[in-house]
Amino acid sequence: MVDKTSDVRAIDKKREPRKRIAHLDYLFVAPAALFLLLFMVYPVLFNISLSLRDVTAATLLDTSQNTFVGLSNYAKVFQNPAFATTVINTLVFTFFSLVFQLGLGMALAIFYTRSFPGARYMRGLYLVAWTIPIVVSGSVFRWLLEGDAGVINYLLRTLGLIHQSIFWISNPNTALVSVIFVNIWLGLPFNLTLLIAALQGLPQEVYEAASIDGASGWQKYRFVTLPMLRPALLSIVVLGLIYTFKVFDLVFIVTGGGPLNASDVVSTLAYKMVFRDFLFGQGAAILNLLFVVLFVLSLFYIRTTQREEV
Amino acid sequence: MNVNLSRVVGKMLAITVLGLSVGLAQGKVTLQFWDYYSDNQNFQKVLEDLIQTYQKSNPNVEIKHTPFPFGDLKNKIIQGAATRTIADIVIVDNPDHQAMASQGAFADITDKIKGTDYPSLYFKGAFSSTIYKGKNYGVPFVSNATALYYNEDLLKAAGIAKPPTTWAELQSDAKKLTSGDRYGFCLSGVGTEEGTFTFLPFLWSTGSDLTSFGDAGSVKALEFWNTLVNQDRSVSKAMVGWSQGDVYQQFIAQKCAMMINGPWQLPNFKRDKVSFKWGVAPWPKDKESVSILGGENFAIGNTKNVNEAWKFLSWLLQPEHLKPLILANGSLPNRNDLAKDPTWTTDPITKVFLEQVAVAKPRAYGAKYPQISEQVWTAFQSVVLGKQSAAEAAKQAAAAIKPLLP
Repeated sequence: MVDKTSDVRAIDKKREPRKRIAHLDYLFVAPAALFLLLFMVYPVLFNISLSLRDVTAATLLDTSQNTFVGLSNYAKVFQNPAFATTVINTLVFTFFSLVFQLGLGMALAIFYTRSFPGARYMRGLYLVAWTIPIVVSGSVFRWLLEGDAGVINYLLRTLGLIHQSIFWISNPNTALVSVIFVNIWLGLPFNLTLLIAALQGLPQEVYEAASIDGASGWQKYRFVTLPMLRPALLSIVVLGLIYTFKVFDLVFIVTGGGPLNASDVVSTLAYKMVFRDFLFGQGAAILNLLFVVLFVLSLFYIRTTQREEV
Repeated sequence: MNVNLSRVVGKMLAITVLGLSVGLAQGKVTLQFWDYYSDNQNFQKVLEDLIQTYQKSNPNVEIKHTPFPFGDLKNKIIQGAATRTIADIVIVDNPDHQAMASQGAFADITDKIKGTDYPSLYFKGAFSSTIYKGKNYGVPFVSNATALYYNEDLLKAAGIAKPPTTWAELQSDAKKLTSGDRYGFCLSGVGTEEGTFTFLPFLWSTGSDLTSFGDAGSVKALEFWNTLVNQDRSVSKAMVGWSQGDVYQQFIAQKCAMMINGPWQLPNFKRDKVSFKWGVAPWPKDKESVSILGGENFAIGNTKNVNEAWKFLSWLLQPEHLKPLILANGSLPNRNDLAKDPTWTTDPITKVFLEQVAVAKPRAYGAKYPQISEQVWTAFQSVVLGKQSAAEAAKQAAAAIKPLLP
């Protein structure tokens, strides 16, 4: 009997500190959890509720004062012809930006992983472009692309490539192309850096083995580099997708979405709805749709990176 | 949206801090004052001096004045209204006044206006822009109207004796003045309110209006722009991306010989040391002589300090305080007493603008005006960019505008 109770006590003694440690764990997690709740979860929930209501600025925070309108904000968004245009623009923008950023980035990365005089410094210089604030580089490109006095037209004319000025950003046929061009320029250094890091992480022995087997340069790239780079490439692509799909600042500065929605993307349309037209509900609805896409992409990213770690 | 919400939370914290500091000051009322003339140092100084004078005679009041860049204040007001952190006194662009009043941003001061002579003192167009659904939500501050600036040297060189007064003259003069990389005429056709602001006088001059959009006059106005840009090529296609500021830059670089712009550019001519001879003429007309009313109004934020804010505003609106403020602002007075002041009537340039203010129409098209404006610039941009004929664009815009009118 006596032994039994002492046994129980012994177990309790063993358990108690463990429990306390468990509680302490929660305490350490609490600030992070609170931060996430306040700045991530709450805004998302608020935005969902906003998209289901008829809201003015004065009733934005007071839910009791505005009427619940169900999905009618979403219905209005889908009926708006500008929404379809912006979705297509966003897809085109994302696709071409990524293809060129990755394609050119890969070519340059392979070039710069070779050692030649100045390779390191030149690699570093690429990052300078990336550190310039988008407001600055965007405004500079606005001037470069100007129709009458822009440097790009001047260059093309001097080289004899064009005879009439192209109004890059004020022509609806070239506005989106121009923004994509600027974005490729902007995103290239970042992709280059990630790809160089990934390439340098590849084991050299495999290449040596391939050389002994008599593989050509292209074969080494196709059958050694690409398969080994796959996990890294996948996360670069998904990150790029997320980053490019939600573009706002660049488009807003270079073309403002114009002319005639020609270069409007989903986020600039939502901005205009909220801050120009005061259509809070519809703006929120658009951003929720954008959020769903980005959320799915993020989940995909988490899954791929986890698999990589395993 | 997410970014804005974190701003909201930040602002809530700011209020708490502000509330605490106000409580500590014991009975002292702090009034917030927002304007969007952050780039006008002279205005900031004059306003600051006036505030100091007022605070001396009203020791229980402290006025905190914050200037913003032009483009930021509108967002700031809407955020302020949403989070109940709007300033007690706000300077607002007059076409936005009704839309912001409809959003609950401003206090209804109908009772306070009743005891004043403001309704008869102010010009009708300017005063009507402060009224929403029959209630008063503010008092006009300054007015302006656009007019035709011309480069006298270039006109002389082209053998043109005086600036154009009709559309026909405008068209032929612009053509004559176009040569090499210089255009005869430039104006803002950007896809924002600035573009619509430039287009509306063309529309009104034909006798048309937004309420009758789609009629022959509106098609004529759209067609006129099309002719200038695509047929005569006397206006650059880049105009669909030009703001008023861009147009001014083109004009002082002598890349164009005439431009439509407002009196707010006058101080810039001095700053930029423009060396050629230039002048200002009334709008060339089709049928009616008309300009567009721009300018700013004072509004009182929907806060608990409405009475104190009104007291300060009434003081500021006394002619001896208002005059230096308007002068520093560079715009024009819009009330019967100051409009007769020789300061403005003796200068040949401001005289033209004052005359334009007198025939200027306000943009009083109700709370959904921002969306109407979008339809207007969509119409003229489609025509200028060759996406639609003038008739098609007018018809499409008319259908979209109709349900948005009050």
